[in-house]
Amino acid sequence: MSQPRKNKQPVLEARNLSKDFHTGGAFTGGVVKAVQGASFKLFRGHVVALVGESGSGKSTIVRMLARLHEPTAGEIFYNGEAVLSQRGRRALLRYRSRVQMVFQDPFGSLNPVHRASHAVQRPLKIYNKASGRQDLRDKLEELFALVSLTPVGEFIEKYPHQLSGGQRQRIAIARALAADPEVILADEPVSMLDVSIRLGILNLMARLRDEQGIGFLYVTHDLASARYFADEILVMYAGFIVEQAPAEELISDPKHPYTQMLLAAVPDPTRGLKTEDIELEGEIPDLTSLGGGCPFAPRCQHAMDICNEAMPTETTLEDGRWVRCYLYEDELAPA
Amino acid sequence: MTREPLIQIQNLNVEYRTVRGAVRAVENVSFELFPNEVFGLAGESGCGKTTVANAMTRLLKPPAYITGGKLMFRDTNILELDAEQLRAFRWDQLAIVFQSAMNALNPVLTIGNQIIDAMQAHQAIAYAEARAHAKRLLRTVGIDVARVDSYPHQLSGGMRQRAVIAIALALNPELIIMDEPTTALDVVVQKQILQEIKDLREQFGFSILFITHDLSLLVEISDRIGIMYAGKFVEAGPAREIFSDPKHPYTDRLMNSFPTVHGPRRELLGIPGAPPDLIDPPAGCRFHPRCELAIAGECETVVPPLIRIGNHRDVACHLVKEAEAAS
Repeated sequence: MSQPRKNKQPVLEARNLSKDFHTGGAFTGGVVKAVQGASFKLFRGHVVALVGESGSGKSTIVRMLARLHEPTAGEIFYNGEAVLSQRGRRALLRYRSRVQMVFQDPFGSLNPVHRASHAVQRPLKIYNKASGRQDLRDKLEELFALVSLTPVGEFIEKYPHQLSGGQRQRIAIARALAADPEVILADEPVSMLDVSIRLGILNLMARLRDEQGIGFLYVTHDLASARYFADEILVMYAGFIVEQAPAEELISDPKHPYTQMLLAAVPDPTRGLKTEDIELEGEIPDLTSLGGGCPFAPRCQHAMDICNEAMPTETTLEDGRWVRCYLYEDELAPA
Repeated sequence: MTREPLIQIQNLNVEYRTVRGAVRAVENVSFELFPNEVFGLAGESGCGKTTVANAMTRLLKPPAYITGGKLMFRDTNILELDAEQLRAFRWDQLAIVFQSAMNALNPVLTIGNQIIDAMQAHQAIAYAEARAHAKRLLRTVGIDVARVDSYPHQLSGGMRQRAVIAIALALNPELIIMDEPTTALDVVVQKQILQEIKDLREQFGFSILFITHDLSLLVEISDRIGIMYAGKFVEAGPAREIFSDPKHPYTDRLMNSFPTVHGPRRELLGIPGAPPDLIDPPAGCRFHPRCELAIAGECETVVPPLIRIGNHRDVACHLVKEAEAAS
């Protein structure tokens, strides 16, 4: 696994990204604060996992990075260049060829009336990655082989309904690779697959990271697979990234009370179900009526008065690791 | 141990008759479920675990047919019940919680009334008494009693799933079948509900047949588990023993297919290939095409029987049989 090189430029960077969604009518409507002030960096050959429960804002971040949603505030940098101000089809095409997406549902993301080759050919044509028919065919076969859909000749001819979920997801990955991306945004790419198939897809993405140097943003609700595949983990709660740490450190020594609760809730096959010492109380708050404080405070065992007043800023704990929690603010003070 | 089993399934066979031919979804499955026990069924999609549950409740509809076997609930053969006996049996002795059960609630009835309906349909009970009991049930599953008059859309997914469990408990059944009861929920909510289920089982003493594809969850909650592959049992026994010392090559690979947050991080290999088409399953052991340890000349021709090793473990594998014979 690679470590982020501090002096290297990130290929993709989110700086203070926020997204509000307006719901309902002009007078009755509310504002859903889906994402607030999200900042992180993505390097080539590096996997960052974005972990959180449903409704925490993970997919909204992915959609902003894929430029499917316009952020309410903040900026996205691609190789140091601000991209949100770049307008027009050409700029968008160029950006999207370098930042590709893989979706959760391999049954919904492939057109059922076209053969497998069609899905992978389209980006090759749209982004001008092939010159002439023979080159197109060669590139197609190369991509199918890369995602281990062999014998290639057979799989190219198949329709989606003739393929298993795992095989469809491999085609979705081949389609993303066809655009020759530097970054793949993978939104729950294995959560609809069977256990034995899941691992094959995770191992395939790990190989693409190592061999092709692709950077991955891996969105998941499953901490275990994040630990397995990612170099770094970001934990989201109610629209905020509350903790960032190298994967192994986050699992072995979670700092934020929410991360601790999330880890305590993961089933442990090595022993029976026990009543935990961490209370698993409460539910995710309604994002239309968040106060100014930390959204986790109502469920937090350590909540103090200040927690309900303002959201804490990032406290850097050590190299590559920070947490947004008042419990750790004192650690900033010099000893 | 001389415990009487609550459920005894012997040589259950189920097939789906399709235009392409008969799909033998469940073949010669036998297991027992004891009072106050959690028995877990594991396996990949299409291995037949839900079909077993549906057969036990006689919920199978054509093109699915039970083609053989016995399903004993104490001294009653479930397969021989007539429609009226079946109706009584389903609620009095057995309840079911499905994966999408939270979406099966009636949207125009309050959850309190849905619990009361279930009670009044099967017992002579006055409304006021039923309502008091409904409130007790809601409190038991961790829902605020004030929610008795709430409609399903006013509750979160986790709360709705708890409400479904409250309905399942309404007639105090001896067996609850839970088919992926927490799969659609977030991990924190899942844990809350599982702890609730565990407490309720201690309090009421019912048995659970628990079905999930999430092996860490299954091993955590179950006393014993059965591993199914392509419609057959390949291994059964105490959950944690199977987890720490799997005997069947499929179980071994399955246990090494999912990452965990516990213990040291390790490389995982998964299982090569895909499960077979059950219209034309492989001869001999159904796992042999994916098995690295297959014995040439034996595994692809001879069906391995499920044999008992030690006191309480069953395995269907030629390798294990030979290892036992050698020792």
